[in-house]
Amino acid sequence: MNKSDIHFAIKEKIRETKLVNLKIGGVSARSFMEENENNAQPLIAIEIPYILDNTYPEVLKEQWDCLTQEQMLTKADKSNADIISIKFNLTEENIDNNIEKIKDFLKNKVSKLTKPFILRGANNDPVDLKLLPILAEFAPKECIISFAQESTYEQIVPAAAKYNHILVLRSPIDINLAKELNILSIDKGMQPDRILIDPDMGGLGYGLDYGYSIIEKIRQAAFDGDTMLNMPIIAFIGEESYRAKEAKSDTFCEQWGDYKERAAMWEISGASAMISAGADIVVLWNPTSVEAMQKVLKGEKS
Amino acid sequence: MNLTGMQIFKYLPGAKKAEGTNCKQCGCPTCMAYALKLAKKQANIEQCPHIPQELKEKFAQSSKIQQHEIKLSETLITGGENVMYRHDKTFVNRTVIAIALDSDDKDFDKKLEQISHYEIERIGEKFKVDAVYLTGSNIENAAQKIESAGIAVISKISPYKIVSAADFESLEKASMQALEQGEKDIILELEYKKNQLKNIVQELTFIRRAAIIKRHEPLTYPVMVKLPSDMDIFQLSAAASILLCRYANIIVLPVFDRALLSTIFTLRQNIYTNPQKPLQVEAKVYEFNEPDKNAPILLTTNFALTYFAVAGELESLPFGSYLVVTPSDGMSVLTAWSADKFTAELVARSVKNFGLAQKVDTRKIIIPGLLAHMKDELQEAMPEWQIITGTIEACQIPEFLKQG
Ligand code: B12
Ligand code: SF4
Repeated sequence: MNKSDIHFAIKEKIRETKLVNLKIGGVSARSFMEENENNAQPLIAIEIPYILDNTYPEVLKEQWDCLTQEQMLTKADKSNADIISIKFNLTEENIDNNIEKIKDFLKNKVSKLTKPFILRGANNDPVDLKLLPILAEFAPKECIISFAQESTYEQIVPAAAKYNHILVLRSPIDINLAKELNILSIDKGMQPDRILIDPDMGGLGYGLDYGYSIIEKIRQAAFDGDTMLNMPIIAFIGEESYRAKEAKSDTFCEQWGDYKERAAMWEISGASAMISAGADIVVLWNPTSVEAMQKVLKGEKS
Repeated sequence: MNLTGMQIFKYLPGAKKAEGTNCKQCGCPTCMAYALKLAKKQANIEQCPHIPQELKEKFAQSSKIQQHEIKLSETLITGGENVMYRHDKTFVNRTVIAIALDSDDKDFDKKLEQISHYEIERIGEKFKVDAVYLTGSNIENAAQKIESAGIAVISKISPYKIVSAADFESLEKASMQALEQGEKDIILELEYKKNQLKNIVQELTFIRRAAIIKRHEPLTYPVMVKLPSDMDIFQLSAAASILLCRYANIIVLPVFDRALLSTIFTLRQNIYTNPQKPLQVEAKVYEFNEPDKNAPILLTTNFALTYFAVAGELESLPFGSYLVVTPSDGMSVLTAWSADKFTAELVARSVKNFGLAQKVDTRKIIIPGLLAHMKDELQEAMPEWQIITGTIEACQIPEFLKQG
């Protein structure tokens, strides 16, 4: 049998966008395949919190071996991740007092990063409505702003579009809702080539299968020619992974294995599944996972 | 895909009002009735004398097996997949997770003991290492020990033929030869060699397509990949996860590592869940550690994941408790709430129907922290109970209850 008899035919490839010099998307086959002309490596982002507080899992603090968020930022910039993500984990109580500090942080710290970056909101509508327009305006260069959703896109799209950032659009694990939000955001002025789809998946063991299949379906629809679904896909798998008790607790019996090992593997396995399904960017929390993923994807040995 | 009744009907005289239309020679009243029976395999293709050659060929093609099932032991089956994507229907036989062992290894017995004692439970299911991939010079003796520990053995003396090659073309050739020699049960081993993972996934994808879409006999057998020993455990967890999603039927790990196994088994449970049927548990009142009439009462949905997350915590407590599980179509807390499967009225009705008030003296019910916004509404619907907002995550429940 000839491989050309079982070639994966596509009508449309995934949109390609550039983040500084980094190519995002543009693929024309399922992940790892090289059958059509244009294929890129999936990208790995490493995410750190803006405020390092006690909600951040202990096991991760150990992995980072850093005392402050500033040290984490430096370490992230030196890691082998492709992109850095900063999660502005602010609340309705502290957002107003922090606006000036955030502007300062963007100007003095973020501007020094050598890697491209994602500026991410708190996933809380009132906070994000204040925060994201500021991040968009004061970002020292073009970046990925994350995220707008059904309840916030009207305000956030114009801010992201004005400064030519890439914008993540999140919709709850539903292909039709993802498409609808893309269309609405484009109507509001978003360039279709500056959108990333976030299908809002669950982590390993906690609903991952739903997100996995939605990514596969969105990818299929895109290759079948749907130009309102052929945007690159981003998965914030780090955050989802560390919601799971298995990824951060040492209270499991011995058979579950060393918990520090498991803490990294839980995220690695989820990220691997997301990439297998078709995600173009996965955002991770654990530096050990980032290193392992990059080695496997690039074919380097340990 | 098998042909549907409509697809078959298109070729029959009845569809074109041609000669023979509804002539009943097939024993069915109409061409349409025959087409439907044929699709359900309740009729034979020879029964109609007017079948065109094209349909005969299509039909022969569609009756071929997509992927053969191979028995690795009395209870372990591999292969039998029939879709490219789990959302098309569901994946069927879970990826076999095997561990490589050398029968000449001086620590053989110790290693086998570790492997055979490994067992974890997740969402009501138990997982053990499925098989050992056995090499070395002492295979027969070692195989017996492994089998008596209830684990399947994959080796060169197994009753099926293992054909090995490093790429699609050579594997196809090797399998063709085995078929010519009369082999019926085959396992295709795709050798990792110095390949990158990417190349392996590419070959696996082509092999699976040749099987599922083209039913190309030499490649319609389960595929095994043995991961190389020069990857560290983190890289192994990535490689094994990718191969699990992308078409390996059997994955052989070069080492025994508990964290690695627990992670891979969890991913496998996710990927092999039937997308049409979320795992759910019975809606009723569950009791943990023999609760007395004053034990705390908690409330949740009947999604298996949700239930087991909470149940696991309640089991671990030194005191008794009740868990009220409402009928919510197997949806998680927030999903059920968004889909109107967890309304105040429904909760009040369930609590009443379960006869909870007769079982206990307490009149306090703890609800999931994620539903804090429902508290007043619930309070109104169940005035005889005091509604208490619990923690966001299940793992915080023990602390919460200990503090009273
Ligand atoms: C997988 C998933 C789905 C799956 C369904 C999974 C299922 N069987 O329930 C699918 C894809 C079908 C789905 C559909 C929808 N979903 Co949905 N889904 C999710 C997702 C990704 C994970 C849910 C999950 O499985 N969690 C794991 C379980 C174990 O969590 P849990 O039940 O909450 O239990 C935990 C705690 O609550 C606690 N706990 C549980 N019980 C109790 C009890 C007590 C007493 C205590 C103290 C604690 C406690 O313990 C558990 C572990 O910590 C979440 C987002 C996310 N990342 O969480 C969205 C999410 C729940 N979905 C959402 C929405 C909006 C929907 C839809 C309405 C979207 C749509 N319009 O189609 C539909 C509704 C369903 C329908 N109409 O069919 C929203 C809900 C928004 C909100 N704030 O209410 C979420 C939060 C996503 C989002 N951010 O928008 N969804
Ligand atoms: S024998 Fe063939 S042509 Fe005649 S009724 Fe049956 S299906 Fe139709």
